[in-house]
Amino acid sequence: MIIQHHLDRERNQLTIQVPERFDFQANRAFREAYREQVLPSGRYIVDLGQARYMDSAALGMLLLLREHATAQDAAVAIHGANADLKRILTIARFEQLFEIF
Amino acid sequence: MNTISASPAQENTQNRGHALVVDDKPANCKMLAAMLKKLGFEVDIAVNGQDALALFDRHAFDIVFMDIMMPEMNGYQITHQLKKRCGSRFVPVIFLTALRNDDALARCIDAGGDDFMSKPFSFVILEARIRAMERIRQMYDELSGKNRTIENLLNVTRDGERLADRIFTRLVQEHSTPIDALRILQRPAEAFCGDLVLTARLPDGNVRILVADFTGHGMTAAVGALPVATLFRSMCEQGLSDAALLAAINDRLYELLPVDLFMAACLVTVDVKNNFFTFWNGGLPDALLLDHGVTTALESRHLPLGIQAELNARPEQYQFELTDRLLIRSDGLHEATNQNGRMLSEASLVDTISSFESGESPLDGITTLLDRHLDGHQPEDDITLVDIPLGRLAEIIEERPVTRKAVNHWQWSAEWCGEQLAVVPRFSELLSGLSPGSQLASHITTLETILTELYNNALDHGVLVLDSSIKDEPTGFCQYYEEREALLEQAAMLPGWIRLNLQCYYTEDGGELTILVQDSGIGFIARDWKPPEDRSRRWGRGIALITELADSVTYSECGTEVKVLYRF
Repeated sequence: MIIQHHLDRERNQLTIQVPERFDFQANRAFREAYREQVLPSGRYIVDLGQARYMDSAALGMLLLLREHATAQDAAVAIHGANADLKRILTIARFEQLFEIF
Repeated sequence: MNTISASPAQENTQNRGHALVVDDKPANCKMLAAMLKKLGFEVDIAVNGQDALALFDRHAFDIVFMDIMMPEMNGYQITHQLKKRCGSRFVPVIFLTALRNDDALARCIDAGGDDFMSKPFSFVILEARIRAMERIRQMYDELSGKNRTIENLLNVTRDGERLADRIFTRLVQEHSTPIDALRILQRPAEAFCGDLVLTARLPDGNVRILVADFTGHGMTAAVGALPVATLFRSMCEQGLSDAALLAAINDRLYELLPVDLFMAACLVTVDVKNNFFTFWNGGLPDALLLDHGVTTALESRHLPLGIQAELNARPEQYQFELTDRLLIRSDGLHEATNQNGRMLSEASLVDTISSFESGESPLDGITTLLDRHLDGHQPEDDITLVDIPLGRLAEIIEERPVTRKAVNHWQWSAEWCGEQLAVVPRFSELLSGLSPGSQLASHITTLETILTELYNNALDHGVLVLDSSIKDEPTGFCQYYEEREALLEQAAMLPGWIRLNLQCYYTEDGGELTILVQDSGIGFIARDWKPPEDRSRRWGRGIALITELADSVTYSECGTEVKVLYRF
């Protein structure tokens, strides 16, 4: 599986485009998308615009990304979640850890 | 609007609040306003009733000074209107009057005024009257603050009781198999207490009944009832003995409840083929065995459950004849006190019971006796009486298999083994295929989440025996999924299986779906699982998610079986 990502040097931000099913199978590809990136005081954006399903493993992956970002003093924002995905994020109380919009 | 707006006091920096002066004579207004500003008030002036009401609607005034004689609306009428608009706030109205007769002054108070001052008045009198009002307001605020606290506390208590009641009702519904021949009399007390009656059919066709009474009330009782009901059902399904069930319940309650809380209980198992029953009574009043007009008391010989660290229960055995009955009761029955503080006497109870023919249920007679005794008085404790027609339990079972009534219903099962295990099923497509165009449609995404999490848990922990906690290691998260992938590549060699059973019942406006997932693993202990308190822990979210999304989640068989109820 390949996960699209886009680096905007000017804004110092990386956007990761999550596929339709954001589950454990996306684990490695999701990590590859940000592993090499260093964005001091920058921003990682997870774009859920195309996703319609996510599982608890995906929540774990988001936490790993957060760890990676925090070490560089960068922020993580979750973008474009539909109502179902928002519900899952809310149940996990992720709004306390991520910027969700 | 014909009002003069005044700026906040300059002479006095102390902010005493916002005052409204209502008087049709500008000279009077000006003088009073000046005095009030000096005392630290912000002042608004109204020269008639209409203006006064308009200002009152816009600002939250702290005090009002009211002239009586005005054209159009007089001071009494305006005050009457103002007081209606105050709601729960205390806004004192002080009448300013040149009238000296007692009647006029009494009318001030009748109209809702709080005090009056005779014109002309001095600065010293004005300040004294204001201080008196401030003192009253302070008391009023303290009182309404306390009232709010009491009201909030009452609401919390009521919520707790409603919740406990709901938990109890659901527990009994979900963990108890109704047995028609049993007759149960239950009278809940005013405050929910929690007598518990659980019934089950054992795999060999015998019938087991547990009648329990918790020492605690409300939520405390519900906390204890929860594991009791779960243990009761799962151990009865496995056909385990009375002694084993009692020991398990005792252990659980001992470990769970504080020292002063415990559960008095009677456990009866009726062998319907050989006409005997086993009986254990720990702390409940005598059960009564009715045998051809002879009443034998089966007394409590044991401590209630949850008191001793270990319980070695030895139930007694009794033979019975087909017309015999057994009556089990909670202490609420004989402790039921009427208005005169008198309890229901044991003699009157036994008299009532022996007035019935053998084989005839005395329950209606006892109900009448109890109602006459209480005479509309609410009992202080829950009252429970269970009437067991010992000889009739067998007939009923043979005659009537358990079926659920539902107009619309489907059931679907599957088993995954070998290579097929590695492909996580597309549950959303499966569900839309099973139930096209039904009320279920709008719940499919949620159900997909639940089913996928359940399937993955069964696969990861049941079949592949992976340990979630390795996800906490620095590289563990990836390692976990790599190990999983490696194992799944050889799935054809795996001995395990996952079974799924779906049962869906439709009602007029919704329905319920029961999901049962079983796996071939050795299981885990569901009670050891704890929701992740640390939001950033990387594992243990699956069960938390399911618990939030579904109506109930029950693990049994050491965690190799999970039943999820979802209402829609």
